[in-house]
Amino acid sequence: MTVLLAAEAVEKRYRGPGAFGGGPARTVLRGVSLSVREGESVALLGASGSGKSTLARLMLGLDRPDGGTVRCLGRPLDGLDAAGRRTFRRTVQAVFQDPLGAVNPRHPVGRIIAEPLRHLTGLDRQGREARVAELLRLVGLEPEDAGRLPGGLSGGQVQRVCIARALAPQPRLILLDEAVSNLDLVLQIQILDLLAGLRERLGTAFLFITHDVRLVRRFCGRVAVLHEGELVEDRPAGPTLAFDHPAARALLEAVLPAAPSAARPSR
Amino acid sequence: MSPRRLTVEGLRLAARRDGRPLELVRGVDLALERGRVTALVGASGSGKSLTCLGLQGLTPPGVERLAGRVRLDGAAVGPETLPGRLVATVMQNPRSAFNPVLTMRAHARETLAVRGVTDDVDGRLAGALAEVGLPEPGRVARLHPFEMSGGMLQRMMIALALLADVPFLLADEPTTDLDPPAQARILALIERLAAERGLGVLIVTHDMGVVARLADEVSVMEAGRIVETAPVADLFAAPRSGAARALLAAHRALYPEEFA
Repeated sequence: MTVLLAAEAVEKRYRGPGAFGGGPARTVLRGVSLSVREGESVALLGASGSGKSTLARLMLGLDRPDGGTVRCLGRPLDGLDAAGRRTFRRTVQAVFQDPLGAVNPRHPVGRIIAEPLRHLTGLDRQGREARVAELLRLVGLEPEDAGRLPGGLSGGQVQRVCIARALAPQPRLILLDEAVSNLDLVLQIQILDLLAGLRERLGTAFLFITHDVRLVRRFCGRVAVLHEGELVEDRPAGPTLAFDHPAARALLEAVLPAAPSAARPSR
Repeated sequence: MSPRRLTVEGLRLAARRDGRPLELVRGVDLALERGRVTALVGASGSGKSLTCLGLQGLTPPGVERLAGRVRLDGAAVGPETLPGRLVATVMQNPRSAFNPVLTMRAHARETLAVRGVTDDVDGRLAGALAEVGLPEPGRVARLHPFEMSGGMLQRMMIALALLADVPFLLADEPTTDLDPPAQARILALIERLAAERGLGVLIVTHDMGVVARLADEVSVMEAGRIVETAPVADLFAAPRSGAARALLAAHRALYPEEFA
């Protein structure tokens, strides 16, 4: 299977504290390698501050590594020309945690979703409108919602708009950085089921960044765990998930119980 | 003597949309008891957070309180007497609850001043920080909110609730943004404070895992109404409302092992 996106031994340091960054630099990622192949659903798991979002930013080309390389379809992101960047954007799309911060509040939903279609596809206006209506239905909204402004929607609805926008140019990989963690569980599962369906039908791959181990067990085929900037696990995932590294095991052991304990002391 | 039971009856809140009132909380009854944890659950937009605000007489801009009576041990009180004196609040995004230019010590001083306490701020803060598991009180006292992680701020919110020495705690999605180990520590802390200090807790959540971990009683909310109230074991064993069944079905889908 084709490797769609790969981080190869990436390093990231942030400059030290103080106005001129004179303090000691902090290393956020140390020699991290992670790849996502066609049709894979990979979870990136880790505690707060483990470097998950920094790795995501590097893999999306939003920030440059201090060492190592990120490649999309084998080509280093660093050396891409304009056409190469367009291919990269069409191949990899992303959804972030804060949906309201990711949309222009003055643009109606239809325009938000059509944005990547205008830049990355050859669709004409009619074609774009038809695709927007199709995408809205796909994420559980109505085609009529195209005319509404983000301010008139709930947070969960705006997040679904962001997911529709990411799906719009038919990317081969979608990176979700805590993209569902602000939604209620019923909605989280609906959206992840929707994405799982797309993976089956279209072979769309996912890199799913989260701290909820429960979602990983249900939706991901592979899981990588970051701990203090290092990749400490990279293994197949499934309903029965087990880890060797103590930090990864701590994440698993902290999973909330499925049912109330019968032995709960009465207060 | 501090009250044992806090109740709200017939709480109704409405927003104005196009000049017409749109009722978002439609007659909610809730009871909190010292030493017990009540969970308020429901889907996004069901009115959980508004209820949590409204029962303290706080409403966001554009929302008005149409009705609702608050009682302490049966005696009617004005809801505005609750915040800071009888009720402390912990929210999903603790950062927004702190003044960005004040240190933790200054926050502690403000909280204590509401009670009329002005002496031994450092000693009292150190005690509260120890209780919530934040080490190095001298260092933490000098920190500003931006120098602290979400998990630290959440524990600091609870420390301030302890300094306020209130009998009731309202926790609105207190662990949603935290990673599992931080989440587990906060839930264990709330459980311990209910058991040891007799805190009466209302925890608002959409996660039935949190409910299973912590709650004694559960109230299920749907479209502005409480549709079911039950002891936690009964709710998990035999949910009566559609809303509770939907929440439990989503929850169980996440535990393929237990419910295969």
